[in-house]
Amino acid sequence: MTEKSRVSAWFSILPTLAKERPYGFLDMLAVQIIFGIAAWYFLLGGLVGLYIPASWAIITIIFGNQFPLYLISLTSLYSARYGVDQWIASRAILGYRFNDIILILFYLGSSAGWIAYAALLTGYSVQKINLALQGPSVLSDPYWGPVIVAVIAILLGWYHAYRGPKSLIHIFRVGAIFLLVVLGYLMYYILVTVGTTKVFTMAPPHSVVEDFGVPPDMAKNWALALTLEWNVGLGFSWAFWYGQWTRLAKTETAAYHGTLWGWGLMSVVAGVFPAMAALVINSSDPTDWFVAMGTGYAYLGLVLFAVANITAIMTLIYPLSITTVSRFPRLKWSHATMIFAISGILVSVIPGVFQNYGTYLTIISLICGVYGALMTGGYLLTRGNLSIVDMFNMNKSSKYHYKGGFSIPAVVATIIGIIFYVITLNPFTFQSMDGLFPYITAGMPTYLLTLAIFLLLSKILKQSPPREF
Amino acid sequence: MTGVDYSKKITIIEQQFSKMDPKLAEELIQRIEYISKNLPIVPRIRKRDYIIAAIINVALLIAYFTVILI
Repeated sequence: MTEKSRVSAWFSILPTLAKERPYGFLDMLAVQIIFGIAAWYFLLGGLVGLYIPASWAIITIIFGNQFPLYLISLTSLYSARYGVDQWIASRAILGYRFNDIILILFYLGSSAGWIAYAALLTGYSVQKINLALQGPSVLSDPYWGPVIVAVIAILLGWYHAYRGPKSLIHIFRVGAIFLLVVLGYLMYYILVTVGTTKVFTMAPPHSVVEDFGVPPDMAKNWALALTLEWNVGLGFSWAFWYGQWTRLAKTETAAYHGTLWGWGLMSVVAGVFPAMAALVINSSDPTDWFVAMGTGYAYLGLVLFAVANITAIMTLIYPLSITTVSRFPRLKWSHATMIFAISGILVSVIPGVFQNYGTYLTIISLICGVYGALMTGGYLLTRGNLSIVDMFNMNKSSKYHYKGGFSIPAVVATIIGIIFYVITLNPFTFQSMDGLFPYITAGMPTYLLTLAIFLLLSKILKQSPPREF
Repeated sequence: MTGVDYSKKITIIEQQFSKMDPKLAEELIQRIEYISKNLPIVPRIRKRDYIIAAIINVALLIAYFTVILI
C-alpha cells in the first residue's frame, strides 16, 4: 500500500472536518460535471439513438437521468452532514450486516461493469486505429482486439489507482479535457456537417420489434419505455457514488445541488449528441462514429477517447478500493485495487458484454433504485438526524443493531422490490411477466414500491432508524 | 456514548501514535473528538433548496410527457 493511499483509506473511515472541505457550490458542480461526463453517457446516448427519433431522444435522456437523480437526491446529505463515507452512514439505515451485504453484492459487484465498459471502449478505439494503420492482425480481430487492449487499459488504470491520489489528480483532469474535446467534435459534426434539420427528420435505424421481439402494435410504447428505462438506470446509478464527494462539500446545499445538477442536467449533454450520432451513423458504438466521420481528425478523436476511458478506469478503481479498505482495514491496498482490476477484466472477456449495455443498465436500474429508495426512506424517517457514534459501533450496543445487524423493513422492502422489478422487466430477456411493462417502466415504480414498503414497515414494526436529535 | 470509550482511544493514540507521526495523530484525535460530540459540522440544507429542485424536476416531468404525447 502506498503511503498516500494508506492515509486516504484511514481518513475515509473517519469524518472529514469543516476546515478540510474544499468544495463550495460552484466547485462541487464543476467537479461533478467532469466526473459525470464519461464513457457511460456516450454508450447510453448511442443506445437510445438507435430506437427513438431525435426529439424524443433528447427529452428522454434529460428527463430519464435527471428525475431519478432527484428521487435519490436526499442520499447526498448523509455524508455532507457527518463527513463520513456513505457506506458508514448507510449502516444506520440498513443495519451494519445488511449494509455489508448490499455493499459487497450491489456496489462492489456491479461496479466491475463500469470498469469493463470504459476498458472495452478503449479497446474498440484502438482496434479501429489498428485497422486503419494495418497493424497486427490480432488487434484487428473483432473479439480479441478490443479484449486484449481492454485488459492492458485496466492494468494501466490499476497501476495509477494503486499509486494513489497524487498520480490520479493530473490524469483525471487530462481525461476530462480529452472527453470534452471529443464531445465538442461530435457536436460540430451533428450541428454543422450533418445539420439539425436532417437529424430531426430521420427515422431511428433499429426497431424494437426486430431486436426485442415485441408486437408491432406496441413498438412505440416499448421503444419509449425501454429507452427511458436505460436512462433511469444511469440516473439511479449515482446512488452509490454520493458519499465520496459530498463529504467534501462546505455546505449541505452545495452537496445537494452540486450532485443533483452536475451529474444530471449539466452532464446529459454527453448523452444527447451521441444519441444523434447513433441515429445518423446507425451504430451504438461510439468508436464507429469517429470512423464514419471520415476525416483525419477522426483518428485523433479515437486516440483522445481511448486515453479518456483509461482515466475513467482509474477514477473508478481508486474510490472502490478506498471503500473496500475502509470497511476491511486488514486488506492490503495492492490486493484491494487488484480485486477490481481482475473483476473488470473478467467482465470484459465475456463475449457480447459490450453489445449488451442495455442489460447492464437495467440491472443497475434495479439495484441502485432499491438502494436509493432505502436511503431516501431513511432520511425521511429521521430527517437525517443520526448518531455518528453508533454508525461506527458494530455491536449489540449500537442503536443501529436492529435484529442481528439487519433492518427488517429494509430487508423485506429490498426483496419485494427485486421481485417486482424482475417480473415487470426481466433484465436478461426483456420480457414482462406481469405485462405492466411498457405501460409503466420498471426502475421508477420499483423505487416507489420499495420506498413505500420501507416506510410502512418501519412504522408498523416500530423499527425506524432512531433519530439522534 | 453507547459503550464506546473515546477518551481511552485518544489516550492510546497520544501515547503510541504521536511517536510515529505527531501530525497524523493530532488529526486522528480531532476526528475522534468530533465523533464523540455527535454534531453536524456544516450549514444545514434549507427548505428553499428542496423547493427549487422539486419545481425544476416537475417541469421536466411535464416536458417529457408533453413531447412524447405530441
